Amino acid sequence: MAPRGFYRRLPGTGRTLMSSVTLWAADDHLLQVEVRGFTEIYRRFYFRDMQAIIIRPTGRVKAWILAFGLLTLATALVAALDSGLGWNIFWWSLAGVWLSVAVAHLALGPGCECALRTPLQTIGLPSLGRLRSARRVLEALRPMIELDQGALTREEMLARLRERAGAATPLEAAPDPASPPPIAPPIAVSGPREGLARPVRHDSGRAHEVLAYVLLLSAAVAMLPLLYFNVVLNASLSLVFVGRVVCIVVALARQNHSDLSIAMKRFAWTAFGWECVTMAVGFFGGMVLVLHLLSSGRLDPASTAPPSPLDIANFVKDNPAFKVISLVSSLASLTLGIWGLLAHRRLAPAREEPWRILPT
Amino acid sequence: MLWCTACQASLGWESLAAEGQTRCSRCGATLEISVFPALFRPMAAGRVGEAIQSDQESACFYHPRRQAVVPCESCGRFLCSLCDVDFNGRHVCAPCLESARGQGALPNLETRRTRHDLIAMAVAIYPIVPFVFPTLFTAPVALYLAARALRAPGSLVHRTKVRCILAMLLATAQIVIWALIINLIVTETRTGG
Repeated sequence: MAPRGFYRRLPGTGRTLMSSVTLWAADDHLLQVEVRGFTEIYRRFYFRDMQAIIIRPTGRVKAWILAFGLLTLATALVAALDSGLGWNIFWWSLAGVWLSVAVAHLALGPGCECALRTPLQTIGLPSLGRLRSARRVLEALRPMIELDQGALTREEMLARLRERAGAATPLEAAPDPASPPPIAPPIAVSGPREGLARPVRHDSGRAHEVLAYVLLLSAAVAMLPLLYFNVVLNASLSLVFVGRVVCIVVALARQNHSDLSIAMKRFAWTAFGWECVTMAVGFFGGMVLVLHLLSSGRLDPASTAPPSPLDIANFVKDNPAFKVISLVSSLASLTLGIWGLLAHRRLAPAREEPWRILPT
Repeated sequence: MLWCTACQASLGWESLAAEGQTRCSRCGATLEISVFPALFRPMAAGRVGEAIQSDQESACFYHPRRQAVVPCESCGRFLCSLCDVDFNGRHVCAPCLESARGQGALPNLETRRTRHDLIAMAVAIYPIVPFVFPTLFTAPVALYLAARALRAPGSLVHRTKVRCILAMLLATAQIVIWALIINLIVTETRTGG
């Protein structure tokens, strides 16, 4: 055992823009150190008080890998299309940066959220954001906790859990089928997100349903230019995309601290991710378009007269890359819309009959 | 009782008994729960000082109507079981504990510390990044701060003084470079004159 007062560093670091959080183990407690500017803030959790450690795997890292992977592809596409030597080096370097970030996320493994249960509160441990480091910390802490609290065999633990379930009040033992399971007091989140989390509120998922319908509508709108090209019509239909962005923002705001299912929340975040990708592709596509217009002589930087929108629209219409992007965008919106509607359908009966989702 | 960290619904005992991963029955979140014996331990009841029964009994310094059970090992005041704080096996009163904490004598109770070594490093490094000119003024300041940080209590966990030494070396190097530049300018001026 380490001598008293000696701290051993545990894996995992939680970082935000202004602070970093790490965990250190002493012989009788766990120390959480948060560095904010030039100050270290300490929080101690004694092994004798630790009741449980809960690890919840999340898809946050997968989303980052996907986002950076798509960004790499988009940048590489621009680099492949751009023929200027200086710009070519810039785009390939940028693609390399995105790729290295994606690979780093991949190497560090899947993400998670970790919480520590003590008799008085449940505390989030922001330094354990990766599943691998959380499991390693748990394995490192287990013998120390057992040294303070004693070890329980699996049979003993099951017996005590059964004992507890049996000793529970009639209401706890057999919950009222018409009422949802009890909601916990808010989780105290330590570290960068200090303070008490907001309580969970009920949400019907209406905003997500509307988002799903808007996605289906935008799938049809994205296909339209391939079938019938009209500048005025297509420009007015682009309002649907503005509506899509508004719906995504509303859905994300509504699902925050709500009791919506993970599937519904994932749907909104995926739609958000897809919107970011669409915007990035649109941005890079616009840059490539300008380069092509310059190289083809349709756009003259020396000329004071602006280029004709009809001319540009005709140029875009015939571009095969534009057709591919429109097709992919339409298919993605269609998939997302169907996913959203299915997730909402699955949510609806559970809302009407809450006992169906209670443990038997 | 344990709660799902995603939706904060209560978890049934079946979820806790499950080996490996389990799912929240409400939101479907995947959870890995490790339960320790403290979960089954009932919470200790709070102590209450007993009332004085006769004139022969000593009274608590802070609660004159309560029976004293132990003297404070720091100030010697008599304490009832309500005022007695068991700290690392010693019986002390709350004011003694608070004053010891204020003097920094109890690292176990410290909740924050200023990292003087980081301040010295920042003053030594940051002025170099935008432009070199301020280092003429900041280098002596960095040297002073690093010397002060050497004696000041450092981090609870990072016990090394390497940042202080690095800041001192960096500040000294900046001072030497400035001395050489000034010397060169003076020599050039004299030669030119």
